[in-house]
Amino acid sequence: MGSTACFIIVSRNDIPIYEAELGSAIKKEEAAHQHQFILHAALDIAQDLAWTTSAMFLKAMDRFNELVVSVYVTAGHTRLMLLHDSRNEDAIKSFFQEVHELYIKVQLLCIV
Amino acid sequence: MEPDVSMETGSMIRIAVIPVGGAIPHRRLREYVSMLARHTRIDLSSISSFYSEHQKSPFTHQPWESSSLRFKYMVGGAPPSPWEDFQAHRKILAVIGLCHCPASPDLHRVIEQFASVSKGYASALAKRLFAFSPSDEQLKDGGEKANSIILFPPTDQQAHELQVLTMIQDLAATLLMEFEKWVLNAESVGTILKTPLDSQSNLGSEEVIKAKKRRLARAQKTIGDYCLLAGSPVDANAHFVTAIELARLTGDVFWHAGALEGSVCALLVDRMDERDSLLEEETKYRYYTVIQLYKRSYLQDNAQRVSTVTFELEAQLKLARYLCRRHLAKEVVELLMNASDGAKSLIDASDRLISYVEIARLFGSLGYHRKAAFFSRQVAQLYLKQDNISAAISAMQVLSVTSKAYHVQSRGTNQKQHAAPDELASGNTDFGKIHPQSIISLFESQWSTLQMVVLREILMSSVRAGDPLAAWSAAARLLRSFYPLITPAGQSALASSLANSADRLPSGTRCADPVLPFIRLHSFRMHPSQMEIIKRNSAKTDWWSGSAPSGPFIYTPFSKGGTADSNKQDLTWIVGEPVQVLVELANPCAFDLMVESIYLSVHSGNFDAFPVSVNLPPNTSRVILLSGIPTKVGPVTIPGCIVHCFGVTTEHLFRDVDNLLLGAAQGLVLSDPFRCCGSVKLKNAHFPSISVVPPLPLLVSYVVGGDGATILYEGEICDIRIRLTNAGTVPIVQAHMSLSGKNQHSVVSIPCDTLNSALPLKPGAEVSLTVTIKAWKLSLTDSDHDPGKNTSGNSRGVSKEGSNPLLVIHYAGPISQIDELHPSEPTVPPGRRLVVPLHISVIQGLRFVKARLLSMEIPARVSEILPKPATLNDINTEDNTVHSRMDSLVKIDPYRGSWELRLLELELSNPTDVVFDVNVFVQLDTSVNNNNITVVDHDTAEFGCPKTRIDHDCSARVLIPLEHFKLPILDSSLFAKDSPASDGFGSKSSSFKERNTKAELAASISNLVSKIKVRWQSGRNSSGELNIKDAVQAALQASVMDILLPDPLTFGFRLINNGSRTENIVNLDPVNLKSNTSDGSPDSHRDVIKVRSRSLISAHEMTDIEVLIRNNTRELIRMSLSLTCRDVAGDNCIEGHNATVLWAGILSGISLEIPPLDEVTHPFSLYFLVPGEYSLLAAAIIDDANDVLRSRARTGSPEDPIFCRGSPFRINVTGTA
Repeated sequence: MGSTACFIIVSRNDIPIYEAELGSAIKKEEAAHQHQFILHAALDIAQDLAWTTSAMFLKAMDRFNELVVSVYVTAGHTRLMLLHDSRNEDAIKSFFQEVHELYIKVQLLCIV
Repeated sequence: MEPDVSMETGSMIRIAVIPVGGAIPHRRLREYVSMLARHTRIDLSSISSFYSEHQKSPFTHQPWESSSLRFKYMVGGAPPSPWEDFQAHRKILAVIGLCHCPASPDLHRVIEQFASVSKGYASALAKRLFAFSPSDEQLKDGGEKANSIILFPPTDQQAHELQVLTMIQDLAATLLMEFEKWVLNAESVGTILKTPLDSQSNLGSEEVIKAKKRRLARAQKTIGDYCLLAGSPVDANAHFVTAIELARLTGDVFWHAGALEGSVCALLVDRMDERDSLLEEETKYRYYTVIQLYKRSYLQDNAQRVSTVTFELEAQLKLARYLCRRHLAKEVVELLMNASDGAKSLIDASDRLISYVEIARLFGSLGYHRKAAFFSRQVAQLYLKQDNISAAISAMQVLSVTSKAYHVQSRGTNQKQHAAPDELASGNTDFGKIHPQSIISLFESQWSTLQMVVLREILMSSVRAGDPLAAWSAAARLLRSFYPLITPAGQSALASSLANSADRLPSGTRCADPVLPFIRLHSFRMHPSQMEIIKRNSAKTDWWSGSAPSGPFIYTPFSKGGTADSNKQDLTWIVGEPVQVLVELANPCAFDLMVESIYLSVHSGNFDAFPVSVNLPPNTSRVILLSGIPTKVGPVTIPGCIVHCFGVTTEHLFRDVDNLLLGAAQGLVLSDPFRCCGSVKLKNAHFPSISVVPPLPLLVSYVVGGDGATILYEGEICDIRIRLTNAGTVPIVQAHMSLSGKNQHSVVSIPCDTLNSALPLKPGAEVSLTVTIKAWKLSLTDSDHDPGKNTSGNSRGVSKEGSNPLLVIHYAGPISQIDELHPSEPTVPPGRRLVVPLHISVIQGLRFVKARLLSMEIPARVSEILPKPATLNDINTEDNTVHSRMDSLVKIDPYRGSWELRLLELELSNPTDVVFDVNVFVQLDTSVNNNNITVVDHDTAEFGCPKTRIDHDCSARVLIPLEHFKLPILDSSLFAKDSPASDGFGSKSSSFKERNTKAELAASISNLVSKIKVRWQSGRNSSGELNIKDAVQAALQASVMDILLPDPLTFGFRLINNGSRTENIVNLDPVNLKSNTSDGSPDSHRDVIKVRSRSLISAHEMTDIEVLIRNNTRELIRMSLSLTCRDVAGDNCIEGHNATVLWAGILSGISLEIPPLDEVTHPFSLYFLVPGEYSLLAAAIIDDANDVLRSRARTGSPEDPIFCRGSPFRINVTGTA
């Protein structure tokens, strides 16, 4: 039984700008679609939740079946979304922070 | 699990509605059901007339004034629920049969059928059979069976409804009485109430005791349920409170939960209108308890058989529904997430389906559309797992609901797209102003993967559901939006599924969703130059002036104000005149696209569009021309095209594609369909506002000889005939002709009068005009001067495109036309402009290479032979004279002699393929205005040299003698320019005079130059003139004075044989002088020099010779003349020891005085010792020379003697030595 994860970056216009199927589970197209559907739906909740808290990391804010959605909202309202089945919050948080850092670097490069 | 549950569900009475008898038409059934469904709340106050209290009512606190019974109609009935005992509202408490009498003639059978059907509903406390639209017979028949069937005789709608209401009220009263009966019965007897939870198999003694204990609580709870149904919440609450207490005591968790749920329902029904936070808190608290209790009642041992999860889920959903408000979203979401978790463990697939439906609905009402869409899709997937058509239809419908959240909805369901035409138009015109942010918003939430999945599922489900139009639409959306993400094979598969769907659709089906091709507006064909429209107003009669930029500049700052915004250009179309619009089609897919027809979509209804059919190979784009005819006056809007492709007709809006392209430009969309087809990037074409005006005249031009360019050699003169026809339906009453474009000077004449005399030009009338053109000279940029290239035939210099002059004709119809829109006031219809390009292709013709001045001296010959009778006195024989003169200009008359003969040599080359004949003409119609002697000799206006033929690729030289141009008199005025400016007398007056004379001189020079004309002829038809003015002027510039000015003195010799003078020399009287000077000074020279000798001069003979000296100035000249004779070697043969000529008379130092403009002679004799050729030379030193002479001689100092020398004069001496 491998772990499942799907990572996606959604721009402030709700357009996905990066998507990646992570995890060691056997990849099926159907499942990948389902993951994206879950993440897409979670945007509704993230959208409301982001304004109720000062934290950037919204842990396990949505779930469907065994899959949990964690979201990291950047200051520019770009959302880093991770669909996962493990519950290692700290690891996910540090993963988000790392991605955020890289994301900022890439953005700066684009500006330069 | 049941759909549509809420907290108040517990107070609803379920009534099964069953159609009986013959099949009821759908519309009828819907009508009957809707009539019933209107009555879901029946006020107790309204049923009192049907109610009779048989016993003391158990509902002691029933509020008759305010309360009501609630009905819930279950159309088609429902299977009995195993949980009926647990919750009384799950029971079917009444059955209503619906009968459509025309479909079931035998009422008896209907009654029987209803009886058997209603038997299935054991719990039903009341049964009614409603029969609608009975016939008279049936009415009569039914009257007898009034107890078992209720007939609704046909009447008007209102009466019908009243009847139904009455019957429902009656039913409500019956039910209420039944409830009372049931409650009284239950209270007194007590009933055994069971649920599937209570195990039946191992009913041990322990269980029985337990059940007995619990029975009271359950009875209380059920009585409470009936109180609720009877609309008496206070009574219900009392019973529920008892039940809760008892259940808690007996540990009957499930019933505890049920009673608690009932109490909440009672609370809510009781306080229906007042909802405050306190009530909400209370409800929330109680319901969380209910949920907990249901969870606790979940028994592991009978989990396989029966589960209470559905109740827990229902409770969660009920609470979620109750709380479903934006500010409580977090709580609701939590509840719904729990519910969705719970749904997973549901055994029954339909239970899961219902729970997902409910979750989706609640998310939807919370405003979480993506969440709602997600669960809807889950529902659809569950539907798709069932393998039947109705499930597929449901799946398709659910999916099409989700399509909005995924931004893939069909245009047919999207209200925004169905905007009114004027809104569309405004959208078009405002398009340029769309804020970038709003462009982004158009492409927001584009999750292409999800969109494709959803569309594919819609396609799949609609194929399964047998809905070809939905399938077509889904395939169309999929293909159009996501072609870059679909493999070529997939694209072809979609194309074939489109075709398959279309096969099952009736022909002419329309669909709101366009497929391919992508269509964008390319450009509007502006009116071709043949049809341009010019606004005119009645105030300005010459409306054509200023209507077009006449210069070579397209942009002028003055015209800026008018056309500041080129995007907003207005177009005017004319009723009945076809118009054309260019659109670009793109097929970015990997299959051949056959567009069966495409035409402009016009919503304004005043335009007939012509369809065309196009075939687009894979990955191509094409610009096509769509045309149509405006039919009525008014504005026209063209939002897009109507396309018939893949068997279905769709409308393609330009705006959509424009948005798509904008999105592509900003990187929001995957691909630009036009760019991937290799089409160039196009600036967005904008819709001008188009208006249609009444018919105008239409002038059509036809250039006789075809539209091809007339090929002319440089300088060639030819006529172009143009035929103008009025092709419109309105006569032309006004016309104006002008020239425009480049090389306007080459148009020699335009036939304005011919056109004006033909007015008014009736429809269909024709007028023929002739324009004369002289081909212009190719400029350096036009022609190629590289000789290497010139040799090859085609690369020879040819005039460039666009250098043609344009003939512009402005014309207009009558002003009295009445505008349809404002019949009262006559308007000025616009005029039109016809531009006829005079297509001329100028090719390099005869080429002028260079001009130079030659001067030569040929001594005159003295001989016995008389020269041809070139006598100036023979003015009567003019032809002869002219002829001789012409001859004399070219040939050198050996007897006449020559003195500083000046010739202009023109070198001409012929680089063309044809032969040119060149003719040089010298015009002599000059007026010499000097000393009041004005001579104009019109008879000899022109004379030319013989033709010179120049073969192709050859060059030739043409000589033009210049003697004719000598002025007769050397005048001081001519030297004004020579008065040195360095004198220091640069006063104003002198400089003015100087300027004046300079101008005069320049004029005479240019006059001289313009007299020389080089004409050519090639073949039979081509003829022209070579423009060599500048070259000639340049060649003559240096020595123009020498050409124009005569010498101060001219010398001549003549023989006097036997003392008799030659008769023609007496020509010094004024009359003769006049005639002489008329031909210019050379002729007067000739007169002097024309020495006539009767015979050859022989050696050893005394020859009498006379020298003539003529004074060409206005002053008396004193001079000292000397004469010499030289032999062929140039040695002086008069003086020295070797002298071969003896002489008599004075030969040197002869002092003479010549009066102004007069002649003197000086005779002498020569004796030649040796035969041979001799030259006679006269020379003079002028004494006391004046300024004129000095300047003519170009001497600076007054001390220098002025030396004049005559031309050599040849004498041939014969004889033997």
